[in-house]
Amino acid sequence: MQPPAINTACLFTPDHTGHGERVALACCGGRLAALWDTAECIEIHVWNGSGWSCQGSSILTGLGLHGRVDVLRKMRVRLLICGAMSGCVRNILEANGIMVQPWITGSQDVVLAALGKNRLASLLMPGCGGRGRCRREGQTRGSKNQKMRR
Amino acid sequence: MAASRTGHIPFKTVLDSIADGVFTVDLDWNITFFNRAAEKITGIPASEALGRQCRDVFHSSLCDGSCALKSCLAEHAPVHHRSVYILRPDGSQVPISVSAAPLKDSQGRLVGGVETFRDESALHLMRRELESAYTLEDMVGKSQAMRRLFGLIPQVAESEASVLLEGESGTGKELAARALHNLGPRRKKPFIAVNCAALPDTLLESELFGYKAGAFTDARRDKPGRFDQAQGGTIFLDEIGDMPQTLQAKLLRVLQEKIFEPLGGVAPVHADVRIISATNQNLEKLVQEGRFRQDLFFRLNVVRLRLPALRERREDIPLLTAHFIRKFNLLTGKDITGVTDEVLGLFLRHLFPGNIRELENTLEYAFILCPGGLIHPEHLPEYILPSSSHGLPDSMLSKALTMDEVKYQAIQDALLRHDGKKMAACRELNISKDTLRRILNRKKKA
Repeated sequence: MQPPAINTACLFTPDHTGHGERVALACCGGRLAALWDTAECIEIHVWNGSGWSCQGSSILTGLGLHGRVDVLRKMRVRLLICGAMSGCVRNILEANGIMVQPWITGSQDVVLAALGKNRLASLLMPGCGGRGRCRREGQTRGSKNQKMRR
Repeated sequence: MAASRTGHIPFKTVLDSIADGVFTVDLDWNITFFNRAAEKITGIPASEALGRQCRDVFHSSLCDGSCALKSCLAEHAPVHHRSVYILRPDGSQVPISVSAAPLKDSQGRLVGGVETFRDESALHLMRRELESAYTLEDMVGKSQAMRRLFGLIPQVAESEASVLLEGESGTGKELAARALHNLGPRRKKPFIAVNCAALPDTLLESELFGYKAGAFTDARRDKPGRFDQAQGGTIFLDEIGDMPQTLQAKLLRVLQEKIFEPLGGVAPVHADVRIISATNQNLEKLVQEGRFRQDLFFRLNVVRLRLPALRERREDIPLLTAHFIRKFNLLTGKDITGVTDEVLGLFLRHLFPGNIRELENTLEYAFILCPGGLIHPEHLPEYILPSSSHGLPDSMLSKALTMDEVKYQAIQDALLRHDGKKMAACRELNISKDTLRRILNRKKKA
């Protein structure tokens, strides 16, 4: 069994991104979108050592998965923080060199404040508490049990 | 709710025993009830769901837009059977059908909403199995030309050979390139698409190969190019026919020696990248005209795949229409069941110069105007409708023709499209060579 994809131990802090590295928040209507797939825009923020500064935004409406990946690449995003995201989409983003922290909820200010204080875990959506439920590529529903039976 | 009773059985027990997921929210969208089936379908225990915002628990494709609960509360009317998907915390996607209704207290005051949902995974799996013969990755088709491609792509994907994709704009060249990447050994590495025609010549070189700090005035730090980003993976060079000759030489070096030099760089960089290129031009003709390097053409053209135009595979139009309707239903949360026979007839007669992209855009337009049920002709853009001259050639509209003349004209047009190749015209028109010869002879005699 792979380690859980969502776990408080693998949540990101500003140190993970480093100074000048770009963090994107996938937003919809003033807060993180419930789903990455339906996010209307990304807001780009950079940690400057003492706080976050907004570096602009980009519209995602109307773009498919690959169009969205292209936007993140063009905006040189290092870390994407978003709401719910499927395992396949996460794999594609990570294959493109983008770190992903999905299953986060809250307004942009709250999320950035939590990220700055290493308290992103407090904003995880219900059911995503990092108890090994999150699945990696190749596993299907029930595969955990099947492996255990073997 | 547990206190309410139907006879001797509490409502909670009743709701926990049904197979459909049920949850209720208050006016602030906080979950107030979450039955056992809802726990099973969403993968979230009721203990964690209760008191939380429904969007944080349900993660449906409607949560950020036309939420079923929100619209039923706003309009005081129930919503039935919207096809959407939800994401479970394990990252799996579950297709569901959602219904919602307002919740009122005994005085008729609105106190919240109730949503029921049904897991349609089994239904989708069954449909997918039925359709699997007609799909490859994101490509859809059951015509002979597409079936042949579906047979070739997995074999070509396994090799490291350069691939040249030919086809008109909108025929799905990028989808084919992605399929080649996703089915090949480089699937876990990046797929980078570059449109060679979208960037000015001066920018294209730095975009492809990157630059070093100091290479030019504004180059303050190193910038990796697309070849760097695609290391280990695949680079897709669309509109390769528009690549300037100076860059063609540099690309040839990547293909021959697997190395390139960033702008301003002195040390060559190794390029472990598979190259898939695409064009809607005739590259051989460009070679003859001296606008495209012959040696590069041979290097790119190790495997050549041609994506047929939509008018050459009209039998795929119903399948593609159903595919896009399902896609837009999921994206918009609408419940559009299909198109009328009249609309399908219009699609089958239309020439679709923009190919599959045009069909997709047409259906996206129809989704804006169609509230639900079947898409009718009035939901289509004007240029598709019969009053417009875009569907049929001018020669067929300008005067009344006999059936023989219509057939003759159709053959002439098909021959024109296929550079006089009779077998290709026969395949497009789905007639035998004898029929074609008979129609042509009959016209000559007349």
